[in-house]
Amino acid sequence: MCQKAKILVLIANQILLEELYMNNTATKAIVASAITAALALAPLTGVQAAGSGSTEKCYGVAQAGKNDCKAGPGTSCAGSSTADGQGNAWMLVVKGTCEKIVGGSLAAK
Amino acid sequence: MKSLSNLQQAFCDLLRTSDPPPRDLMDELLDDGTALERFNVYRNNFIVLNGDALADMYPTVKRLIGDEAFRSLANLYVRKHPPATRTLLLYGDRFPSFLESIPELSRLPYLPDVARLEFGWTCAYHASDAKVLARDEVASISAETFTRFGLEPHPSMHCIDSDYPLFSIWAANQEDGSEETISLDSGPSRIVIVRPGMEVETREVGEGTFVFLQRLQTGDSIEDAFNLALQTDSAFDLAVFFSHHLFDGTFCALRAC
Repeated sequence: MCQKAKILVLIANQILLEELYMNNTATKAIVASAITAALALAPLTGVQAAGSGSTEKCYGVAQAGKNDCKAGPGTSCAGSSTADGQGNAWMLVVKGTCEKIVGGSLAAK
Repeated sequence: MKSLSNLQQAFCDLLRTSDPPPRDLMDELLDDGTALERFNVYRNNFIVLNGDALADMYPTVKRLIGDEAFRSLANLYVRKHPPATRTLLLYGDRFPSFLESIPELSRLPYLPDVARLEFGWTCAYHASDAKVLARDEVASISAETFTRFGLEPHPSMHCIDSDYPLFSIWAANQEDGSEETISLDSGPSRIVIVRPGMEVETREVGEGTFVFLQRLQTGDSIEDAFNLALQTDSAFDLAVFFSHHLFDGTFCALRAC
């Protein structure tokens, strides 16, 4: 390889290294400043924290506690008033709030 | 005479069918003249009560398709995938893929995603508690070395994405009498479920936040996760994200990578 080409390769390598270093340094700086900024903020209470997000909504929905006694001993005939329909031959009658969801060019997922 | 295990297996298999029990199985059971009736009551309870447990896990799916359709599906599901553990707290883990396999539901393509969200919600509800990431823990590290660390998300965290407006569909069905109409074409949705304290939070997040959290969850360093998030979503703002969520219980520990 002639001297000129060698120098060009060396320069190219140097540029690549510098770019890598710059990117790395930039990332480090962004992460460091983001964490420093978060540390500098006064601690928020949970309620304030939830309300202060401008880009995200937080929803907390309480669900009744579950336990494992639903089909445990002592349920006796509780379920027998609800008849178990036919196992295989069934007609699916969809009647719910899905009627409020319209459109669907994505239907074939 | 059948062995006990054979008898039990035959009994269990029969619970999952609609067939009348064969005479020889009935003969093995205590014959007081009501064995058949009692078997039918037992089988009915098995199907109906496990179906009730499924309805408790999937109230939004039930509301979307209506009680009658849900009951039909639950009957099928219980027969196909009966409970495999003694507790029903997390019964129904295969319901999302089961819904996908039902041809009659193909015009409701978002339904399996709604089920995934509801299952994730209940998993988060029952997940282990964890301490909130402490300011002291973060402050003890020099800012320049943060990139080499990872962040441990709270054990309750679930990241769920959908091609459909999943969050809007779910949220509209959490209150009674919502008349909101949702367009299925209003784009994809990315949801992070986490339970920092006692209450489960369901957050709709941007693509960058979603990728960042997913990568941290799989063990990436903050630097790698951030770079990937930025590649996916150039608008991702780490400072804004950290100011809201670094110390709100989304994370429980720093992790050396």
